[in-house]
Amino acid sequence: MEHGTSEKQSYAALDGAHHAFLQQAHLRMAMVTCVLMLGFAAIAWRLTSLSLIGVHSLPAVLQGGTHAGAQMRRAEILDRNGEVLATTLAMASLYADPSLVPNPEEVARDLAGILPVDPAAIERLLTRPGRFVWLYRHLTPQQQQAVNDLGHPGLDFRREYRRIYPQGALFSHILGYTDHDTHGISGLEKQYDALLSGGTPLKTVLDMRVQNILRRELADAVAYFNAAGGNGIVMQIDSGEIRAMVSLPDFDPHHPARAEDAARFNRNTAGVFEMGSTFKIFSIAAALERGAVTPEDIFDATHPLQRGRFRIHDFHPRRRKMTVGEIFLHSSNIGTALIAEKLGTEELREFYRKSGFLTRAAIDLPERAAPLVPRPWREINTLTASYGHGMAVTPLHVAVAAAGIVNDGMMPQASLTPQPRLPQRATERIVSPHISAIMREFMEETTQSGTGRNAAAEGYRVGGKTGTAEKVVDGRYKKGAVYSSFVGFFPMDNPQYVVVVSLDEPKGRPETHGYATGGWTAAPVVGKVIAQSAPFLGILPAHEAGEQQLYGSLSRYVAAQRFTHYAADTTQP
Amino acid sequence: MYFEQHSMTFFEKLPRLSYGLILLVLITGLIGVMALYSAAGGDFEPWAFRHGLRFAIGFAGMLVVAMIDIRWWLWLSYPIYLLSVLLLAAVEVKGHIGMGAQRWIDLGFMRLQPSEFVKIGVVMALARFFHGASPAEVKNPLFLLRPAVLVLLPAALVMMQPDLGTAVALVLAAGSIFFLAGVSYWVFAAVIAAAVAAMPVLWHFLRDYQKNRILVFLNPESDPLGAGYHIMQSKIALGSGGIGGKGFLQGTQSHLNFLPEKQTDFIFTLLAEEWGLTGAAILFLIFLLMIFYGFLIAHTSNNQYGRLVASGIAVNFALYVFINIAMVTGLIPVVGVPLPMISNGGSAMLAVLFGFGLILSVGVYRDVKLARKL
Repeated sequence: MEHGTSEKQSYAALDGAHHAFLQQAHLRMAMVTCVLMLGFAAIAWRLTSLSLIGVHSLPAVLQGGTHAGAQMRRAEILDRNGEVLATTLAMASLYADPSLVPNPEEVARDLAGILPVDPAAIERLLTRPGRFVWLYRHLTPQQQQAVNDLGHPGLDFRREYRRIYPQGALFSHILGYTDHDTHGISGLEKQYDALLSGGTPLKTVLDMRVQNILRRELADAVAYFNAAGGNGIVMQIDSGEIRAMVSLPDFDPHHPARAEDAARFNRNTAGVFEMGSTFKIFSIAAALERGAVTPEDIFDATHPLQRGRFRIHDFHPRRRKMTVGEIFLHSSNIGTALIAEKLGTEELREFYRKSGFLTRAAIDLPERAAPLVPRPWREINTLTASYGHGMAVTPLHVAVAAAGIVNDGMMPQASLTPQPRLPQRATERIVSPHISAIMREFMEETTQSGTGRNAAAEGYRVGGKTGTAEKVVDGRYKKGAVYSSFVGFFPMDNPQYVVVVSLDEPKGRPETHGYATGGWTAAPVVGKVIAQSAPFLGILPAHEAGEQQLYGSLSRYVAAQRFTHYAADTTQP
Repeated sequence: MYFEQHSMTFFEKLPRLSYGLILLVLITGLIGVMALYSAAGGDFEPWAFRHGLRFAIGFAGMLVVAMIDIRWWLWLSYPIYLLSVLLLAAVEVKGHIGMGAQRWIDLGFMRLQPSEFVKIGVVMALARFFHGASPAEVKNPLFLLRPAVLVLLPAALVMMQPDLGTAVALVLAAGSIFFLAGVSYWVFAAVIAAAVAAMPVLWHFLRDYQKNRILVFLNPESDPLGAGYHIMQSKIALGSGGIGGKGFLQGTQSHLNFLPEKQTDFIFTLLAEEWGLTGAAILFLIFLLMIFYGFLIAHTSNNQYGRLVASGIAVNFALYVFINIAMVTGLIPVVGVPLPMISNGGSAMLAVLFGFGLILSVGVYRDVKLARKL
């Protein structure tokens, strides 16, 4: 092994070279050491910064384990009285690390026995190559215990938040819903997502009691008349605050995916309908406001009106000459068309524009529909639009504009949340107070002796207008299919609330003499809603109005007490 | 200048041992047992006891290796290299499939991971090769083809397993020996340039999960519940330890199974969570001292083989530490490299202890001069 001689020679010969060689070896060693130290300095810095700066920059979802407080709990939505409409609960969700699950088939079978899941789908998840899969979100405590008791390795839970709607479907279209990660994707949940996910509770101007009444009465009517659906709004006239808003069919916001499209859609703000005769409120108000007619002017509604190839009929023909007031009272299409003809296309269109009928519905919801407006707008469109045919708007459009008509001409801005009062703008006035007073008279007369008698609510002065539109299906009017509405106001001595109710394709009943018109189907709903909800809205029955003066600030309390007895009495058969 | 070389007696060798290094090795072994005890939730089963047992055997083996004459190791370099490469090839033929990658041979009493031993084998073979090379030969690029094959053959086998982390560590450690042996700077420049140019081609050969890891590394927050999960959880656990740590057995992030593989590649996270920045810094310092000892012994060695073996193994050890900690702190993509002496796993620890045994042997035989030609 040792070759002393040769090594001696080579060292002797290479002494200088060897020295240089050694120097180079040591230099290289120092260089490698330096590079390694640089690398270690980098991880030392990294470690220090991770330990000291912490984890605040990480996504919230991953901090749930021990940093539960770090994920902002989505805030509650409340009604105007502080009732909880939406809240957030912590729940367990099941996940798995597939690589730690030795027997996916068995695990999938066991889980399917506890959770409503498809074992094949679970098995597919468990045989995926990743290290993390969600198996089931939001387990009940019982389910969690049962899964835990299985004792399968590789399964684990993490705490997640779930949005809960204590009122179930009651506010489904208004509140909307969130996705699994509680991000709002429709309704108020979407509209105020940033606010809610930031932890600020949302106080609405809704009233759960009124919402309950409206939904119950509307649902009863939908069932009674075997209607395809219905919609209702209760709105404060001067502020535009929505107290109740119901669209039927509705859905369970905890499981929006299980609902049909028709149920998920909010008819009040996202549905456009030909409104029929309720539009006469606006066309006749426009004609009065522009001075085209006076209430006493007379129009001949003896015969159907022929304009080109169009022929306009009355639904309940009186076959006589009528004043403007009578035309409104008996809801004459012929008469209204003649009034609109006198007013002129430009004037009517301008009035509709000011009333908001040519622009998208305005409210703090993401689901807002744009109206369908005739294009081009010909003379004949003016005539049909005067009685609510040939153009389609949302029920919310009608509620807001009608509120403007009775509110001395000042149109409010619809809102689900308290709004700072905006300085009154010129465009908000749609009619003068004088015309507003005439229209109020017309509408109160309608519920006393006209088409809206069924909207009467004992103890309250109610005014309003019926509407029955033939439905257009696939571009043609569908025989026997109507969209029947009633727009009501109360109390008429000082209107404070507007109630708009419609039934979609109601069927006539023997009790209604086969009629499915707004007066027979929607008007009774409005009357019942007013009678039941007025006390909650702080409005006394008219015959006790005198006492209101006497009791002063106690009057509301007293009135509510009285109503309780009154309601109890009247609900007896 | 020249003195008669003779075989030292046992008692002549004892004072030449580096007791500082032995102590550091002992400390890391005990830290490993403690960490695995904690990882099991305060239980010696299933990892800590066996880890301790393996450490005891490996520690004894290290001392035996340290006592064996460096000339024997020089002589055994090529056979050891050959054996480790053959075992590695055997993994390709008959291997145990685990975690989607074939990496070990089941010996019955332990699972042997040849890729860990190949790291030592390559260092020994290269040290042996360059020991026998004259400075003039080292400057000749064609002369470097044979050692390049010595490295690339096992590196390719490791890549086929596939084990990107080990392959990269192997090539880097081997490269450092080329560098320490005095290969010209321009050769390194050329190889690095070629590697950069070949990057798109190499990318093509990566497995999908490897590509994914690299892509996720570039932006782990993009996929917090998928492939970025490990690293995000690891960073959370590291951050949650703070300066003082949560205390022994008190870690939550690493115990609640948010962190898969807490007993192997991600054990540093558990330590940092329980012992905080302070504990992590102490362990880090211990590792640095061990590396420093490796280079110190290399420096004092009077033969090229000892210099290259000691510094090569030190670099190898440094790469383990660097890659593992850089990985769990998210500085580099996730690659399967354990934390030496601490992570659960017999092969890596035995290989590391064997390496330190060689370093100690280099230290014991530092004054021995070895002929270039044998």
